[in-house]
Amino acid sequence: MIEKRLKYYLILPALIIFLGLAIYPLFFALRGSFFIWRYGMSAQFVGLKNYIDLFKSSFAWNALQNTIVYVVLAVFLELIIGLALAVLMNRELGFFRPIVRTALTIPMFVSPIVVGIIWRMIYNPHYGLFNWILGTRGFAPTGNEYALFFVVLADVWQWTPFMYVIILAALQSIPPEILEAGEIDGTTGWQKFIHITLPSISYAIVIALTLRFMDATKALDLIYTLTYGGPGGGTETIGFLIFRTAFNDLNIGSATSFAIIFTVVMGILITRFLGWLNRRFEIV
Amino acid sequence: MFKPRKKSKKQMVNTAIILVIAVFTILYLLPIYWMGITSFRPEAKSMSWPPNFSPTGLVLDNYRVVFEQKSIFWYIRNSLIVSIISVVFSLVIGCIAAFSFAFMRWKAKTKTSLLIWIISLRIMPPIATAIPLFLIFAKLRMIDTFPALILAYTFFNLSFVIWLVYGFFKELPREIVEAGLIDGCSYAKLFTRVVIPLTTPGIMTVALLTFIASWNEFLFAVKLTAFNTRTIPVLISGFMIDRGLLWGQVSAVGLVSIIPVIIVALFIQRYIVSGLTFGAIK
Repeated sequence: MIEKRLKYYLILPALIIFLGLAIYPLFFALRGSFFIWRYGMSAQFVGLKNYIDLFKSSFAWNALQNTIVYVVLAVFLELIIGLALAVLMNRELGFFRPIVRTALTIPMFVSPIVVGIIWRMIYNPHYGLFNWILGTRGFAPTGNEYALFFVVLADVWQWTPFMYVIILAALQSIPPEILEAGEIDGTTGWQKFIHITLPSISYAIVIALTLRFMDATKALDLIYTLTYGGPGGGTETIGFLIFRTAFNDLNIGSATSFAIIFTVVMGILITRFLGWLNRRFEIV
Repeated sequence: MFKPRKKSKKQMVNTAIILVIAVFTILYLLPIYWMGITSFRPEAKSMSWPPNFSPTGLVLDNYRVVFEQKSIFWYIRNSLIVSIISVVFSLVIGCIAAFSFAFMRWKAKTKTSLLIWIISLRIMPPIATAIPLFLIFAKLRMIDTFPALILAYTFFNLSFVIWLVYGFFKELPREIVEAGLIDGCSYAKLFTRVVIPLTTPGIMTVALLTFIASWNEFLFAVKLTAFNTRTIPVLISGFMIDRGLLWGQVSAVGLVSIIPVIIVALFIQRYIVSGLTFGAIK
């Protein structure tokens, strides 16, 4: 029956795109990861050597460590500041709130490439805003061992509004009766927040955290223009290291093996997590 | 004289909060304002100490340079071609797929796993597909052609489109859809005459968001283009390699790249939350 098959035909174009531009390339990368392969030269099969080398590579461990610090710190700060801002703004403020929301959403849609440039100028030791605000001169935030924290700050600037917008929307959709019921029971403000408000917005927080977590893990563009992984690999994340290995060192075999591990680990985390989320909140 | 009105404590708290947030918001946008101002300063004065925020002494020198020497129009044109075509492709393909998921009889389990598989493709690190795609397109001699970049963008926008549009479709009242089918509407008519018109505002939001995603995209753009198809983010990143950083010029290009962003930010406020969360939160 045509009806029965129609539903498959309708998703067919999408499936072809996914298979051609994601699944096939991934298998291509998987195959490449078993070769010593420099771009422009013939490849030589070496089995698992690339993977073994990877575990011994200090670059890889450094990038892993940087990525973890970056993601955890950035997402945590964004959540705390975004939550505080949302709670503060969750009251009758008339036309003021939509203006603030629109203004704050702008950084989110700016290309991370441009955000990197802006913050590079801000961190300029001689003419940058950062030194001006601190009242110092000549301090290079991204030129020392703490550079990663200053990259995190740029990420926090761009993405805190993301948390704010989502959490504020969740706060506003809490039915007032629930909060009023709490007031009758004589709970204090803080108790009300912990026991009534937070549980009612937990879904929104979980979603916002998940999306930010996924995005921050892949961070690459911001670092490209802000620090280019420097100084001395101090801000090199996994995504950036893979990029550099593939396109600067032209070491395709090594880069693809790293990319495959990265994808598999992320893939397992993501599908398990989405499965859990779907059982808990029925997202599909 | 006005009689001083006694303000309630609540009002005073509100006023204080408004003040704090207003200051916060202004500081928040200071970097963008600073970049904007810098783009209008002569290059010799673009770096100054202390930073100069006053909107005086503004000139168009940098814009003249980026429009005449750096041929920014060329990059804008490329960005527009790639973004618009990939948005159209991903919307058409995505809406059709979302229609199938939302209105046709699927086994619940099949549908759930397909949708989760689709979203996981979007969440996957793009670098993992960027390297093999670069190699494949190089083999096909497609590097530096529009189709390569358009295909890549159609792919990464597609899962986002399917998820969001599926969410909008599911929210339509079932009676409308069923009534349409009983009236002997074909699926094609149902799609074009009922479902799409009813969800147009949502779909427009999706279109704007995917446009911005393509407009801003860097990783694929920098590797899949060489000379003829370079987009705006690639131009901007190119400033990094030049000796030092020409603040005035790079700010000018940056500001040009932000203009569509600001327009979009103004238009999508209504659907922003579902747009930002793949439709997970309405």
